[in-house]
Amino acid sequence: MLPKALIAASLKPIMLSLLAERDMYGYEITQRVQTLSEGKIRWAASKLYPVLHDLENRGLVASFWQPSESGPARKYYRLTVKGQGALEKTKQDWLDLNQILVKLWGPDLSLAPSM
Amino acid sequence: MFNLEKALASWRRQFKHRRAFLAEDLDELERHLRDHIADLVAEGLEEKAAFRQAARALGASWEAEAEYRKVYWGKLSRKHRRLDEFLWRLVMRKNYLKIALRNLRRQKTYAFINVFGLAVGLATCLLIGAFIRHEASFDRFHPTADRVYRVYKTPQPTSMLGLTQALEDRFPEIEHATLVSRPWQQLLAREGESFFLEDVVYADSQFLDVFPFPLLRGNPREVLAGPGQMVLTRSTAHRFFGDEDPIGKTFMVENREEYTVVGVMEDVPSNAHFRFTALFSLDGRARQQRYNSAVQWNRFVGSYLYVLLDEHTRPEALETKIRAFEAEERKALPALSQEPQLRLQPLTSIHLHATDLTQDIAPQSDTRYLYLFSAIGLLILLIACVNYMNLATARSAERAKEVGVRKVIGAYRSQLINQFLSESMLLALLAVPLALALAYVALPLIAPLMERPLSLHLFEDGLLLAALGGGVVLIGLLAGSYPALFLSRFHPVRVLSSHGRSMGRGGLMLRRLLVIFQFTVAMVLFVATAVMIFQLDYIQNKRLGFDQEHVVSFSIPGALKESYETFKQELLRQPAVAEATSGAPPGIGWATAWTDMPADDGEEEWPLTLIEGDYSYLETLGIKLVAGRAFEPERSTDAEEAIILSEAAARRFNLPEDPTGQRVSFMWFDDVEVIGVVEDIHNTSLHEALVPMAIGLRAGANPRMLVRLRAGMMQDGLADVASVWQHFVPDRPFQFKFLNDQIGAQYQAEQKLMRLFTLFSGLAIFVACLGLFGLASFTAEARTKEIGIRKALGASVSSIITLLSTTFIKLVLVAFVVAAPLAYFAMQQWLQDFVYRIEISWPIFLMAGLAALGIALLTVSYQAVRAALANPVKALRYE
Repeated sequence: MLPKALIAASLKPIMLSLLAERDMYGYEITQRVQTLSEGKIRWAASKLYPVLHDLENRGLVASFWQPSESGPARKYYRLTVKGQGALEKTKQDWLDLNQILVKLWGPDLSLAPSM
Repeated sequence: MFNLEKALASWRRQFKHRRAFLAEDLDELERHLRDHIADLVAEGLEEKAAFRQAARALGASWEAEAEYRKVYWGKLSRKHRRLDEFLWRLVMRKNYLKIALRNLRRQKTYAFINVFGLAVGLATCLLIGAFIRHEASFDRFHPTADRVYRVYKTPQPTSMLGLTQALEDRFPEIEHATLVSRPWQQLLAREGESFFLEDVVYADSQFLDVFPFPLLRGNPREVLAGPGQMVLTRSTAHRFFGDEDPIGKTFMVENREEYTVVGVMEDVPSNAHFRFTALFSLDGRARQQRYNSAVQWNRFVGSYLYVLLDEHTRPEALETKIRAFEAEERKALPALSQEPQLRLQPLTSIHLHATDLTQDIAPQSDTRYLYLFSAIGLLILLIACVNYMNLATARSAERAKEVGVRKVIGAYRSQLINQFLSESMLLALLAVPLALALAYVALPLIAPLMERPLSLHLFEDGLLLAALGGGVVLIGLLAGSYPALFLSRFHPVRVLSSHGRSMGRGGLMLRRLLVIFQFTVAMVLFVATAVMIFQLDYIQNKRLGFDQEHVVSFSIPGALKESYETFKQELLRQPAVAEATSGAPPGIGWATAWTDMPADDGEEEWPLTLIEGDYSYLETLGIKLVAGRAFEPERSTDAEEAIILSEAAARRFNLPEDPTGQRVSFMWFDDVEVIGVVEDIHNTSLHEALVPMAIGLRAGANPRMLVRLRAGMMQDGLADVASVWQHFVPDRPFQFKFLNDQIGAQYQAEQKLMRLFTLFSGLAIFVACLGLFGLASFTAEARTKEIGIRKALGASVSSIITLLSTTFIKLVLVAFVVAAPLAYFAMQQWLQDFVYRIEISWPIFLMAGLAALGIALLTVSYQAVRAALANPVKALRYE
């Protein structure tokens, strides 16, 4: 498990990035993050949903309900145009931060930016 | 069998109660849970275990609530539902308020009892709070307050000759030191008029450095530097000179020295531990006490030493150094105790922590009274809160239907609790203006009882406003919590069905306990007051060995000594004067000399006090001879070789049955003849044990004159004495005291406590009776029909009154049984302060108990009589 503070800080960037891939519902997001991080990040539902609702309040994501075969309808979240802009901005912030750490720790530890 | 749907529904209910979730949030969370469970089941878990694990992973409802609450209002505003929500909450509040006000209006008696009771409790607390704030504020007005210390010893906190200068020379930590003496009055003369100025202070030039009172006129660096200078306070200056400039004016002080006014200062605030009307620079003798650089450790002076430390000095460190210095000096004086005695006392703690000191610069106070009064104030408030609890729960039947309907419509219990708490707070809020009004009206009446100039400044005083706000919330919670929990617990089906009527009996036991509590408190105060009254009455009426009534006492100035005999004869010629003598005024601790007599084998040392008077001393004071004779002018040997003993002294001298003619030696009396024995004289207050006395003869002028006036002719007598005085001593105003006033003054603290207790116990009983009145009227109302039927069947009025009163009287009796031992132990403690004291006996308790019972009975019977006299037809026709 990663430290709590890091998990909290990365919550929004990761969430926006995931929703940039495709529309997802809350449980799906938690599962995806868990596999992606190889179990290093687990989001409790009680934390996840308020963050999603906050993003929605600020217009970065939109939500819609979709019927499901396995049970009641699920609430899906989708990245809005405004959300995409926010994602670009936050991506740049994190890369900047990464650059600083790379400079400090030497080139060996570089996370080699992919874009 | 585990039923997943049921489990989910019950899980969802926990969340539903919390206001931070919208319905769609719960749908989303539930779907999340279902997905998780499905995954876990797919991994091979049992459904039940999967549910538990998934629910745990999702988190508890209260944790989720905190997070959801942060985004709640944002969500509402996105959905344009914020206004709805706000209005809904407002409407609910408005509805609570409406219901509360409607209840108040419909039940005026109960509203009055509650609001008035709470207001009395609050007002008491406000007044006591004002008193405590004043007490705690002593001396803090000086900017130097936290650096000023008094160098003192116990039990008299006075200084020693030369100590001031010695400490100042030796310890650089002391920035300034000042020696202050405070004779209680000085004779001033100016332009042929003479008068006494009370509360003056003699001090050196550093006084205003240590106590930086602002000067209106004059330079603080210069005043009091030389001899013969004085600084007047603003009101003293105004008293003598009006609007004239007082600077440069002169006074003759004690017909000895001339003093010139060099400055005017602000009046000393009432919260200074010593106050004064004028500051005088030190006279000759005092200058030696102040400036002698060698300490004389066995020469105590009647002055007080204050020092101002520099900012970096720790007082503890300085105290250690001073004590080391003292111990070193004492080594050279083997006759003295080697234990250092000096200590440092912070200026701000002098007023409240001086209990073990005697002869302080001015009378100080005692923290114990602060605790006592705070406790009493809070208890009275608590009694008022109990009234609310009792009446609210007693009347619960009326609210039960409302609770039922609200619950059926979907109110949560938390909302109902909220509603009832708002109601009690509303009541507390209504009590505030009434409490303030009561406090303002009572303030000028209470302030003299407390002997403090108390004040309440509502709008200038943040603390008072905050205390009132806090008080409302606290009272609301305290008084409202139990009724809120009690009422909100009602089961809707039960209260809405026909059984609802029995709900009023709920909490009956608790209500009784609370009434017992109220009356216990009230009765402890009541008994305490009774004991105080009896003790003070006992003290005032106990024969002290002399007649203290109608005796005027005044001092004989030096100028009168030569013409004393003519003066006395002139006094005796006045028709209103019965007797006159010059001698020690008895009963107020005055003595010519006192000593500890050496012990005989196997016995303890015993104290002996000598008082002196002239030939008419015994006769004037009505001191009765038990054996022998009084001093007689015809016998020339009486002046040198005769003594009169009190009975106790004769016993301690081991004299035979008739001691006259025996010879004794003590003090400077060597082998003198005992010519008479008088009954024992209590020369000190009755806090202290009787001391054996010897009465010696000193013909001619003694320091004080005692004149017995004829009963019923007091006014004439005083005028006569004053005119004789004016004739003999024209340059000195006639000042006198009544001996019995002086004796009574020794019990001032107790008198004050008694008056306050009378007030407080009266208030406590009053508020408790208000509650009882409410409960009684409720009972009478609830049993209207029963009474109607009883009367119709032939019950008498008296039997119905008995029926209605018995329960309450029983409660008051139980309270009495609880209160009696509490009061007994508390008052035994208080009586320990007196050597001569009453026995707390059952008649006192009986009286107090009967009085309280009588008051309670009157309160209850008003309602009972009203119910009993009501026409049964009306009661039964009701429906």
